[in-house]
Amino acid sequence: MHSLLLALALVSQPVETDYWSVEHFTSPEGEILEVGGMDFLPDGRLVVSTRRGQVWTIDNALADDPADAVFTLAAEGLHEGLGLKVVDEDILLVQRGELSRLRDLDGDGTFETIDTITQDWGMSGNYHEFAFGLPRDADGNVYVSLNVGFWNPEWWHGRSAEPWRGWILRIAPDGSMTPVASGLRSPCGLAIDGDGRLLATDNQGDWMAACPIIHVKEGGFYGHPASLRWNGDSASEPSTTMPPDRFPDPAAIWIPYAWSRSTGNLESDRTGGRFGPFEDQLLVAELTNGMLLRAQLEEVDGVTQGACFKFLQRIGSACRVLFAPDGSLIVGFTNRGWGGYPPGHGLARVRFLGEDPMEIDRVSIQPDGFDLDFTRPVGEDIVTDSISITAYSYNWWWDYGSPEQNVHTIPVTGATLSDDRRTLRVEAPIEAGWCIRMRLDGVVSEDGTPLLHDEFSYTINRIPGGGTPTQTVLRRAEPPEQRDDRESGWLRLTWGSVFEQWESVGWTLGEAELDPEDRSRFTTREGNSAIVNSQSLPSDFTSRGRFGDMEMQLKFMLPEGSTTGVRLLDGPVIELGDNSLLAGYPATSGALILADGTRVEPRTNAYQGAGMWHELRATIRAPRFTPDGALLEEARAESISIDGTILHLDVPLGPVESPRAPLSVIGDRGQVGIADIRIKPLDAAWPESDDWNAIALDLDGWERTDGSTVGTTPGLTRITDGLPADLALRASIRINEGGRARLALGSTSIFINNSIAEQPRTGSIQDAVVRTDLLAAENRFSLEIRRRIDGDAVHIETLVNGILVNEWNGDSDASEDVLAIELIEPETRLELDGLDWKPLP
Amino acid sequence: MHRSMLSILIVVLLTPLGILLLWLLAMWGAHQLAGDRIAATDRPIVARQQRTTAPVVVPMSTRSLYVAYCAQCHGETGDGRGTRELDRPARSFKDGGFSFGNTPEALYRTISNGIGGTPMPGYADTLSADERRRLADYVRELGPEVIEVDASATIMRVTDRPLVVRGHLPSLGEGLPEHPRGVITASPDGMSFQYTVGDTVQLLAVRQGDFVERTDWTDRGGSPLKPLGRVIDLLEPGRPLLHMPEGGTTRHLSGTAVESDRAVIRYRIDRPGLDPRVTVSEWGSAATSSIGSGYRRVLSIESTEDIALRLQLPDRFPVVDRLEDGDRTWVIRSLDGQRHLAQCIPSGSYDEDAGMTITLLKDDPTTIIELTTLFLPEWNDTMADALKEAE
Repeated sequence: MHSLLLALALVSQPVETDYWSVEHFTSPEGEILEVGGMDFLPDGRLVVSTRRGQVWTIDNALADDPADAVFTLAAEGLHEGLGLKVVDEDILLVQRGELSRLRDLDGDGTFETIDTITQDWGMSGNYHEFAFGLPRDADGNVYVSLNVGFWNPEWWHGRSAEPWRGWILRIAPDGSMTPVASGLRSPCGLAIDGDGRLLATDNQGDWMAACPIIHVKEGGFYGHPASLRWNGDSASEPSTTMPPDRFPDPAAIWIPYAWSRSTGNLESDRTGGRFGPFEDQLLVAELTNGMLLRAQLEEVDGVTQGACFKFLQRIGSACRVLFAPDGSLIVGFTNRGWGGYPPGHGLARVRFLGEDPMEIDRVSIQPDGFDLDFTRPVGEDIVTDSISITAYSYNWWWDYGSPEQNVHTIPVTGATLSDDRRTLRVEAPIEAGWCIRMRLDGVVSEDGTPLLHDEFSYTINRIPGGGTPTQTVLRRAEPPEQRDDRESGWLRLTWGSVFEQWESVGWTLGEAELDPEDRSRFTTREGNSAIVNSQSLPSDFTSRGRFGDMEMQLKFMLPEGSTTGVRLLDGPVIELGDNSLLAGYPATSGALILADGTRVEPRTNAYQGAGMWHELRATIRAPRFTPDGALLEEARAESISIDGTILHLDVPLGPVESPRAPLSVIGDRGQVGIADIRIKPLDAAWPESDDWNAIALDLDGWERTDGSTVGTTPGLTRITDGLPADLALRASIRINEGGRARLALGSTSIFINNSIAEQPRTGSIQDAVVRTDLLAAENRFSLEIRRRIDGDAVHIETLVNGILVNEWNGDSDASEDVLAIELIEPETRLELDGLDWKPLP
Repeated sequence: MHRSMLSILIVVLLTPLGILLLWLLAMWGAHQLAGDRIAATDRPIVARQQRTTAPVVVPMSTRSLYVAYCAQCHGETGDGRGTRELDRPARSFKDGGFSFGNTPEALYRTISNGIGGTPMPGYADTLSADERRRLADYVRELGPEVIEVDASATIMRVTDRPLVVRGHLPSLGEGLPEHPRGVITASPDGMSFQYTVGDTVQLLAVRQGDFVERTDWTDRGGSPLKPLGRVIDLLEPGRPLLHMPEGGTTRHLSGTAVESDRAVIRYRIDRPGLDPRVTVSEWGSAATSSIGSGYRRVLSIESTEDIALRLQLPDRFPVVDRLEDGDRTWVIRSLDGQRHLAQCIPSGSYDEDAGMTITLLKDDPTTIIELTTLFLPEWNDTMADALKEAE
């Protein structure tokens, strides 16, 4: 016991705040500063512009105590301010519709004169047409980047409705504008680094596989096709789904999705060591996960590429970073009405505390691997087994982001420390055209201090001396299926009525946040974003429906030190564990505990930390048995991922006994917040079998279009009669947004409604109401009705996508053999693809 | 000595007799005023004439002020049933909801400036600021309980300082476009001026009341602004005010500024292929007169060359009359046969189609033009006489 404690103490994991302090400023009472731009005035005041169109000046921003900072409202009523630069005494500000110069002519502290420098870019009025900025080069030019717009209903296709949306523009001191580069989507961050390179970040989404850091070149194209229409040669709008002829120029860095989902701006550390050991590297703001990243670039055969690292996590929705004259870093937060790690607004100051952490300082690519420089000499030798390299590529396609593709491990063939023990040569058969993620286990400095971050990602566009590569990180991919049917087959089990489809005791719906006093638990308040086992003696959160083959996804969030799990098929568990307290702590989100208790560790750690939402996805295959119960096929996990990082592929799940079982989140272990549980049953397709009888869909007033029978006229239509008392009836249906209908089976109504909140949802039977929004409107689903009549008593069950969701008992009527359908709402459009019945024994 | 006399006066006033005296005085004043107003129903209300009768030796109670100035139209209880016959019934304060907002500032402005085109006159010249403020509070209390808006959240409020807001402007009505680039200026008197500033710079509407709700950054952001004032003059669609006589005029935003009591919008007027730059600084304010209220635009124009510009008035309504009056010209337009608007420009030969020529000289750099628009409840000789007397 004693030696175990000693061992724990020896490897005690340093934390980021051992080396950098984070102090949040208190914004003026009642004010929300969603920071979009920052700079310092010559007199030392910090100037901050906000998404809400205000400009604040802050005196004493660099005082030792942040409480000494004095905020003054210097301008308001601006049309957003997402980029700012001080030039002499004036403030250059990019507003949504113009580049402006703000001046304080009378020296009273308010910048009441706002001159328009240029409005020379298009705006259609779409909500997403942000304008970002605002670095300034040595010649006095400033740079602005323009967001594409997103329109309903196909909000996922970004479009460039007006000139230069999706471009980066250069604006000269005389106000003249020159377009520089295209192919951007939501380029929130721009910078000019210490080497004079113009850098941009973008946000993952359509045609943007993940969040990149781009070295912007004149005439460059970086992947999103919408902007190409302003290229001069074609005025027509590029396809939203087919890739254009022009292939994107490479991004310098693709930040792993698990680390960044919404990247803000970036700044070169030119503090001469006052901010720590990473001179000339980039600090990068990340909003959704609420952290700062570090990036380091190198030129290889004329192409920019490099490595990126986690730097400072759980800081808030960081959108803007700025180095202060004293070498500290000012961080501005914004969550712009989206989700983001709290706080979602305000300012903080990060200061280096003086001691270098044990870190991977920089990575330089070699023909046969990488050289890793450390900030401090390495202690024990590093063996190849402690190094793991995963390689992956991305799809260049219209879909929203790209999961990592062609994921594989690369063997490490050598690990050699330099004489000064500060550089490690990692030998591995690397190739250009891949991103890699490298993890080093158990590396410590000479005094035994573990690495602060043991992982980095590197984007290999070129290998030194390797010539032009035959492949690229970004790869053309088949256009994915249209999104209309994307949600077909899914059941949204916690939408609308959260608890209806679940058995649970001791679970609460609310807003959950880490208790600031005790980060090992959540505080909950009124709201609807998390389901938390917050009461005493909570049960498991167990589905009423029973699932076999399925795709599953759920969002989860853990407090510090909590461990719980998701139980599949009444046996195997996917562990959800927070490992943020101790190094080497075995709890790992994504570990798989098989039905026989065997533990399978995930390939990598995709867990971000306590208090952050993660998305768990799994594809599970149930066991197959012969009719007499002999095992034909073992249950297995086809894939398990967290936040898009694949943790398991094709793992047998051990001796699972039941082909169908409820899904449950374990309630009596650690606390957990869960949300948006969805399951797509994979065994509920439309099985062809002889015992189903097709009903002819020759309905009065309904239209017949290839394969479907479509009703649009409100009213009741008789379908058939002569149905037996005990039967199963199944229909493949699609109903529109705002549509509502009912099947009248004898005297009983079964409702179809996937969008109208006030009305019973699909699967409701008479007064037995389903209130959960199980299905997305406009998506195909199957509805099965099972009825048994015993004397006067009728029992009916409804199954949606093969899963039992409701049952009802009532009295029989005379005419139980008739089936009719009624379109209720005037705008209803209902497609019937098939309608079968079979007698129940 | 003075102090002791004042003490005596106060003591006297505080005696029951003094209070009675005070009350009698107040009621006498109120009756006088009410009498005047009732007798005056057959002619326009000339608020300025009341100045002679308004001074009362001691301050009137707010209730007396209300009875004197408001009740004949709005009713003793604020239910809108006054003794005076009106074409359009007066506002019932009991229903809540006021034309230009129910904040104390908004009501104060409405009481001060009146409501153009209605019988509601402005009392800026008649009542002291304190009296108008007390009346604003009083009529506010007549209404249902007021739910205070969280001012810090989204509402930009004009108090004593002019404001400027930039943003996406919502459509002003059916068939009218949104404007992704817009500017609204507001003067402390409660007038706001809404411009499109994208492809051109043009005044679209004049509003009276509260300023603007910053709905543009709520939710996911990027939404239009929500101007809160009521449109008192809609100029869209319509022609811009200033043109190059040769045609092909372009207008570009140069900026905005808050200068002491005015919110200024500046723009350049150019024509492709023409060197001279004409810069216009424009600001607006409320305009009140004895016969109606409205707004004023002031244009301060500078040119780097000698050049002639053409000024054309908004022409959404037909001209029915013109009035030459010394150094100014009134153009009278009929809104609906009954209500009219009067546009006041510097005197000169104004033609509805050709406009008026304004000569700019580079050596005389600043030309100031004032344009006043007043809304008149009717148009007749009496109004015309009053218009000539207006300041």
